[in-house]
Amino acid sequence: MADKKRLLIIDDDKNMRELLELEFKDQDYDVITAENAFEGLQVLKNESVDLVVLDIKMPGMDGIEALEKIVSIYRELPVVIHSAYSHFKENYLTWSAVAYVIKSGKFDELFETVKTHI
Amino acid sequence: MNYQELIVNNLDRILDFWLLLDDKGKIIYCSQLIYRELGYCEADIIDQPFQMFFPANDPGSADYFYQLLFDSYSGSVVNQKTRIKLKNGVIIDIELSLYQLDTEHNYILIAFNNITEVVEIRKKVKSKIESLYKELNLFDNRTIYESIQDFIDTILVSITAGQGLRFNRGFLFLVDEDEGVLRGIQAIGPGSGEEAGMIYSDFDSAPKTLSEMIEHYKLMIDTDSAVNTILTDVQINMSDYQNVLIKALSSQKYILISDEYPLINEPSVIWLREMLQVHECAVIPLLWHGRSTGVIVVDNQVTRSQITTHDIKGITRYAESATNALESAKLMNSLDMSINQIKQANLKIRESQEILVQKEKLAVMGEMVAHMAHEVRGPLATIGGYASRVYKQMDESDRHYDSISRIVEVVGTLELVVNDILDESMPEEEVTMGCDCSKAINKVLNILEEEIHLRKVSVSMNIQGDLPDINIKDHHLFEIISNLVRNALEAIDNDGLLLVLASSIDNHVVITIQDTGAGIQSDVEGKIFSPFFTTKREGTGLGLVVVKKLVEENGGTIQVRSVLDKGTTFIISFPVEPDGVENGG
Repeated sequence: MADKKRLLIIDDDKNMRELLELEFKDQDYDVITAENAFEGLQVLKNESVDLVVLDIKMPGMDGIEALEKIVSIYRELPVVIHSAYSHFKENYLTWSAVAYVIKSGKFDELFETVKTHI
Repeated sequence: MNYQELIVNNLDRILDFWLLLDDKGKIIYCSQLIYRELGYCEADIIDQPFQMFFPANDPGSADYFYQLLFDSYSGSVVNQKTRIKLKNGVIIDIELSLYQLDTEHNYILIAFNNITEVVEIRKKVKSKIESLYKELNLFDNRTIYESIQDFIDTILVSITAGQGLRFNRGFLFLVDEDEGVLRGIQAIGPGSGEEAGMIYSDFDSAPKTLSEMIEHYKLMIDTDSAVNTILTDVQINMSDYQNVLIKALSSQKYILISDEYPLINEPSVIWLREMLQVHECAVIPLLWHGRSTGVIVVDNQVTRSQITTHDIKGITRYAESATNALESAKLMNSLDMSINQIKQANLKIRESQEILVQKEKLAVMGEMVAHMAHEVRGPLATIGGYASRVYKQMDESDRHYDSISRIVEVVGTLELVVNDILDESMPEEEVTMGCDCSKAINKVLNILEEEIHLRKVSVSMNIQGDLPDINIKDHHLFEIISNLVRNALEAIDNDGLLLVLASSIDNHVVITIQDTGAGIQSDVEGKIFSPFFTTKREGTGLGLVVVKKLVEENGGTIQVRSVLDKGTTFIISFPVEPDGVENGG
């Protein structure tokens, strides 16, 4: 338990969220999921997390705003942005994330990125 | 010899009408012409006072004779205009001269001419000037006159026409402000005496309205060329104040050049008289808002009749309105030019606006497409992710293994298409550049196997065995071939033939995809590569655009040949990778 790294996955798309949960669990991670930014911030208050996988386009608070909040509170916590939108990559507001991975059916890049930054 | 008889008998040959009065003012002798032309007989006249000729109800006619006597105290009065009545009561205009022959015996000779015709003509001219003047006011209504040339014609015609001011010839000079010269513009009138006869005999049959006259003039304009040559190359420097034309121009007063003109020996006067071959001519300045814009020179070279102050008055008055009209025409002309320029500019603006709108449209479309592509990418990742997940855990012997592997493959290709639409490429992705056509063709046909079967299409494939690799990304070639094959299948509909050929020709790989489908109508053949052009009910019209773009981006060419109801052939050609060049990655 103690040696398992814990990920927080924030994504409003249920299918993607649950798929990521399955995939990362297969990769031997401890996974907590949140379906929006508020819920994610709530989780961070109560749980210790090693890395956050964050979607951008979400109802309510979007990922960029959530990212700002997360990095301002948890300065050492790495956040990986996982989005179908590639153009936010150019937005300097997302630059405080450690990486930006574009959504794809192949998770190799995401796995690699998470592994590198955890 | 009886001198008295000699003179009286011959006086008829010298004077038209004449009367001899005694010291009581009674007529004692008169010319035969008075009997012949005025209808009186000897009994009517002899021993009657001269006043008998005056119309009975003409007020002051009694005094008039005494006035004449008084005026002739020095011996004579000449060229006095008055009116007398004929025997039949008709009143005529005369010009008379009275000479006191013998102051001792008070014999008086009165001679006169019938000037009724002249007066009539003058009246006619006057009324014509007035009507012309009225017509000239119509210059404001410029639709009648299309150009400055029309104005110039109008002016010159009016000056010389029989119904107009009736000068023989008119010469127009205009100020060229840019060059600082007064330049000969145009002339009208007979070039010679014979021509004059021809033109002036035309008077009675001449057209009545000004516009008709101008038309007439335009027909004669060649005959006028002789007179126009006089003006060829005539230009006078505006600073040449000694020149009579410039003098009239700067003083803004007409100059009547005749033998009485005091500066008759001025070089420019001699020059003008020589140029026009006349003794007498008048220089009339054209003024516009106080500015001198040119001069008209008129003469009576043919008829040699004197230019009177009346004539000058007429033309001065005419010149005034003509200049107004001319200057208005010039203004209208330049206004027209400005309007044209503005029109041109507007047209350009509209054109560039259209281009902008078109660009805007394309930009909006581009944004829309990008937005859609992004929206598609999320669900696509989910489908691909789940499919891969199942695929990885599946045994090859599983009966769904092939189905799942195809889902994974197609989703993978779709993701690459989305990337291409968004002009992005996965940086981490290893892209093999050396690409085997036969593999791509087989892959496409495998994926479309079911549809081929469903449509009962026979496929004939002929791929050259040792086909060299071409320099294109796998998924690009796949996209190209699958689009073309899909189009072919849709065109065939049912029971047709699909032919796929690939061969190497002259360092190129040529792929031919031919169908026996409906063919393309020749009028739309040129449009099939245009965005959003489609003949399919549910098509986006982007398929062939993407194909063309991908082919060209990879250094290839695409051609289409189609015969309606026979089928369509697409031929794509890619250059072969030169040997020894490293593949990308």
